[in-house]
Amino acid sequence: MPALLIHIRPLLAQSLALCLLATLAPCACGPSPSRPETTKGAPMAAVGRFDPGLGGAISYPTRLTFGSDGSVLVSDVKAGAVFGYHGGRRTLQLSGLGKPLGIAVAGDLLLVGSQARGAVDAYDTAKGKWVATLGKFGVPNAIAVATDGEAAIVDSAADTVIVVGPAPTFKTRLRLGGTGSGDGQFRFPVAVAIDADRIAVADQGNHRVQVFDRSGRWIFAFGHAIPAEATSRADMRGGMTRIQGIAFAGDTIAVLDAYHSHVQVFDRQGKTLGWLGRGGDCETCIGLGLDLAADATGHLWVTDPERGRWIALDAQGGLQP
Amino acid sequence: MKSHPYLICFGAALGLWTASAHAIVQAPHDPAHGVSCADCHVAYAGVNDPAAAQGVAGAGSTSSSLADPMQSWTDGEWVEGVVTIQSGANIGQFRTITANDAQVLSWAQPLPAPLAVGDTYQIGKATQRTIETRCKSCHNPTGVAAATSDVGLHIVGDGTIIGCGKCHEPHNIQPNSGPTQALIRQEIRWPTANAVTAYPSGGTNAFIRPATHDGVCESCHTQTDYHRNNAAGDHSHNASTACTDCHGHKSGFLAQCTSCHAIAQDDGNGVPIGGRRAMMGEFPTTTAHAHFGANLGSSCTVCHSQASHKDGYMDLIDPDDGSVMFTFTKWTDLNSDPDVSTFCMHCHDADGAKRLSTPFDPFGNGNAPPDVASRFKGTLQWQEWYGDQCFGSEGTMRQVNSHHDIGSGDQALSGAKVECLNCHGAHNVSKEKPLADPNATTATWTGTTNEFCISCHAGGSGPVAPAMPAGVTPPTVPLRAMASCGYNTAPWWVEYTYANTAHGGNSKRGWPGYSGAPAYNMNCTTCHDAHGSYTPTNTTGNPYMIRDGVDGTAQVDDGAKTLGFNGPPFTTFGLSRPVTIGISGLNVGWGGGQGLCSACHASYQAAYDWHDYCTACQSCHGHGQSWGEYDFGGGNHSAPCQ
Repeated sequence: MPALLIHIRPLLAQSLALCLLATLAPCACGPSPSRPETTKGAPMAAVGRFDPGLGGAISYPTRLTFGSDGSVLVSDVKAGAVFGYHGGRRTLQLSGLGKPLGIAVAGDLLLVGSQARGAVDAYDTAKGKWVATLGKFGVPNAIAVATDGEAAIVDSAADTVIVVGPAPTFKTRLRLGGTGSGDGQFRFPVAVAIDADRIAVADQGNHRVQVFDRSGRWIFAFGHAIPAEATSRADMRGGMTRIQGIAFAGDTIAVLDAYHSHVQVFDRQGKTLGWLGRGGDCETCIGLGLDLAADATGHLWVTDPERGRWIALDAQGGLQP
Repeated sequence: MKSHPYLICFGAALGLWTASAHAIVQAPHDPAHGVSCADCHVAYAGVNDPAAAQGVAGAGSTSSSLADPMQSWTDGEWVEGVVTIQSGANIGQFRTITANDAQVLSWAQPLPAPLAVGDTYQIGKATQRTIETRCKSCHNPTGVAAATSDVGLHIVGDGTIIGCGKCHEPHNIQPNSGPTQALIRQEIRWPTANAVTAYPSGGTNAFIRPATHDGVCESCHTQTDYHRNNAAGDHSHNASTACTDCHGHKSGFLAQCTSCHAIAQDDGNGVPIGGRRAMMGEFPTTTAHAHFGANLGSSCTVCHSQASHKDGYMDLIDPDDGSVMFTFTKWTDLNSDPDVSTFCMHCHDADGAKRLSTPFDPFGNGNAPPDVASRFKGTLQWQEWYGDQCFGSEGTMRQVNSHHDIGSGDQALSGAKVECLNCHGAHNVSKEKPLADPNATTATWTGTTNEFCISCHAGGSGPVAPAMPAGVTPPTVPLRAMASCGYNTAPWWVEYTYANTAHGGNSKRGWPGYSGAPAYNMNCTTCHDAHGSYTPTNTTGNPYMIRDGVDGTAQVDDGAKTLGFNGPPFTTFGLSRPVTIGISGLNVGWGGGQGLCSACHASYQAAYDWHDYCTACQSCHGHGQSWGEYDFGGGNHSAPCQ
C-alpha cells in the first residue's frame, strides 16, 4: 500500500469532499505496528504503541483490521481518523471522519462506520477518494468482510446486523437481529465476524455469541453471564461479562471480554478451549480492550486505547486452559 | 428520571462494598436501563488475573481457611480479594476472602476438600485501574454508555489511579447528586481506603460546585496550593468557578490548556498579568489546520511548556530538544523579541520537530511543517538605490538582504526587522490560509495576497517613513518618494491601487477601447518568494527575493505589442523557466533573455525600438507600473526618463 495521507472533510452526506494533503510521501513515524516477535514461553504477548509520545497521531485506537497486504488499519474515534501502518511505518491517514468506529477492508476499499455521520462509507485509499455510502446506521460499531466481498455491519443502536453484497452496489442482502433475548435477537451487539459459511455476532447485552449461516439462518448461541455463585474455573467456561470483540481464528472463535481484559477461545461448537491475556498493570496486560482481530500468523490483536497501544496475543502458544 | 427499584445482591467484584447487603438500586444502572447485577457484579474477576500475592498453604489450613506461615499480611488487606487454589484436590477453586490476619486467609463457602500442606495458591484483588476498566467496559466510545465515556482516569502525582467509585456511587441508593450530576457521592472516599469518608465534617454537600472547602475535589486534596480540604491555603483561586471548569474529567482532572483558555479570563487579581487569553477561538476548526488536529489536547505542549506557568509566564520551547527558548508574560511581548523567528525555524527546517516521535507530523494531523529555514540562508547583501539613476545617484541608498530581515545579522545590516509572527499567526495559521493580519496577528488574513504584501509595502510620500504594522521595523534609511524622472512612486512600494497597475486584474489596458490586451491579476508571489531567494544552486540569493524560476503560464504576454494582441494562448513562454537576476555594481540585471521580465515578455524587443539598446527594464518600467506609466505610453506621466 503506498503511503497516503488524506484529509477528508465531511460536509453533507452527498458531498463528502476529499482533500489530498500529501501523497506518496512516507511520513516519518515512531514505533508503529509491525509483526510481533514472540517466543514460546512467557510472555506470550507482544505490545506496541501507535505513534507514541508527544504529538503522536493516534489518541484513541479503537477498532482494528488488517489489509490484504498485511497492513494494520486502526480507527481512532477521538481523532476522527483511520490510520494505516505497514512495515513499521504509517502509510495511511484518513481524517475528518467524525467518530469512526468499525472498519474493514473490502478489496481495494476501506469501509468506515462513522457514528457522527451515521453511515458506513467506502473509500478508495489508493486514489484518496470517497466511493460510496453503504447506508445509514445509528451506531456502526463494527464491520467484517468475507472473502467474497460481502460485509456484515453491526448497528448497535438498532440491535441489528446488516449484511450487504460486495462492491460496487453494496446491496443490502440480510438484516439480522432485532431487540430481545431470544434466538436471533440482540441486545447491543458490538462486534461481528464473518467467514465462508458463518456469521458470528457478539451479543454483549445477552452475554453470548450468536452464530448464523450465511443465509441468515440462526444456528446456535454460546456464552452466558458468569453466575454469582461461581467458585471454580469450570464455572467460568463460557462466561462473558462485557463481550467486546470477536474473530474467527483458524478453527476457533476468539472472544474479547472488555470487563475481564482477556480473550476466551472457543472451538467451532462454542466449547471453551482456554484463555489468553489478562488485565492489570503489567507490560503485556490488557487495559481496556476494545477490539479483537486475527492476523494471518495466528496472532490475536487487541486495541488498548486507554494506554494508546495494541497487544498481540499468541493464540497458538499462549492459551491457558 | 424514574426507575424501577429492585433488589441487588452486593458482591465483592468491584471492591466497593462489603458482602451480602441488599439495597434499592436506582437509575441509571437498573433493569429499566438494561443493567442487571451480573453486568457489574461478577463472582470472580477473571481467570487470568495477575496475582497480587501467591504462596503455599501450610499446616492448619482447612476447607475454609488458608494458613501460610511465610506471610506477614496486614489485617484485612485481602478482604474482597479472591484466592485461587492452583494445585491439589481443590485446583481451580476460588473464593472471595472475607477476612485475613498476618498469616491466615478465610472465606465463607468451604472448598470441596480441606487444603493440604503444599497446595499452592494465588490472590487477586481488584486494583483501582481494574475497577476503572470495568466501568469503562460500558463507558467507552463503542459501549452502551458511550454518551458518558469521554472521561479520563484520575491520576495523582505518583501515578496512582483513583477509581471511579471513590467519587461516584453507581447504585444511586444513598443521597447523591443523581444521574444528571454524574452520581457524585455525598461522602467522598479516601483513595487509599475503601469506604472511609474523606468528606470534611461540616461540609454542606454541594457536590460539584462548591463553596469554600466543602466540594468534591477539596474532600481529598490536602497538598494543593488552592482549595485544600480545610481553611488553610488559598481559597480565592478562581473562587467563582468549579474546579472542573479547568481541571476537567476528560483530561483526568489535569488542567488542560484548552480548559483555561477557552474564554478570556481576568478575575481581577492580576494573576496572570492581563488575565487569560481566549486563544481557543484562534484555532480554525473547519480547515485542515497546520497546528490543529481533530483534538487540540496535548498539541499545545509541542511548542509550550508549563514550567513557569504558575508564576505567570508562558514558555516557548525548542521543538528539537524541548529546552526553553522564550519566556513571556503577554503574547504581545513576542513582537519585541528580536529572535522569535529562530523558534519557528527549529521546527520549520529540514529535521522538523526532531524531539518528537513524529517530527514531520508534530500535531498528529498529517500536516508536515514546511521547511522555510533553508530559504533564509541567502548571503546576498547589497546597497540598493531607489529609483532611477539617469541623472546620477539621486535616490536613496539602503542596505538590503536577499530575504526578509528575520535574522539578527540581517537586522543589523538593514536596520529593518520582521519576524515570522508578523506575517503568520502562531495559532490561526492553516494550510489554506497561512497568513495572519499583520495588524492583528491573532486573526487570519482574509484579504488577497497582494493586499497582504502592500500592508507593509504601501510606501509613503515625502520624508515621512511609511507606516508599518506593530512589531515591524522599516529600514533605518527612510524610504522617500523621489520626484525626479516622474517617479512619484518608487519602485519598492506602491501607493496607487495595485489592481489598476499593468500587473493588476483591473489594468486599464484591458478596458474596452484601450489596447485590448488581457488583464491578469498577478500575485506578488509569482515573481517573489517572501521566504527568500536562496536555493541549493543559488546560495547567495537574488535581489528583491526574485524566484529562481518563474512560471509565466497564466500571465504570459509576449510583448510584441506592435503586432497586436491575439489573446491567449500566446506563442512564447508560458512554461516554468529559470530566471537569472544578477548584480553588476549597483545595477540589477532585470532584462535579457534569462531575466525576470522576459520570462513572460519574451518579445519585448519588438514592442519598442529603444528596447534593442536596453535590458534594464526597471529603468523605465516601475514595479507594478501604473497603466499610464510606461505600460503602453500615453498616460499622464508618459515622458520617458532619458
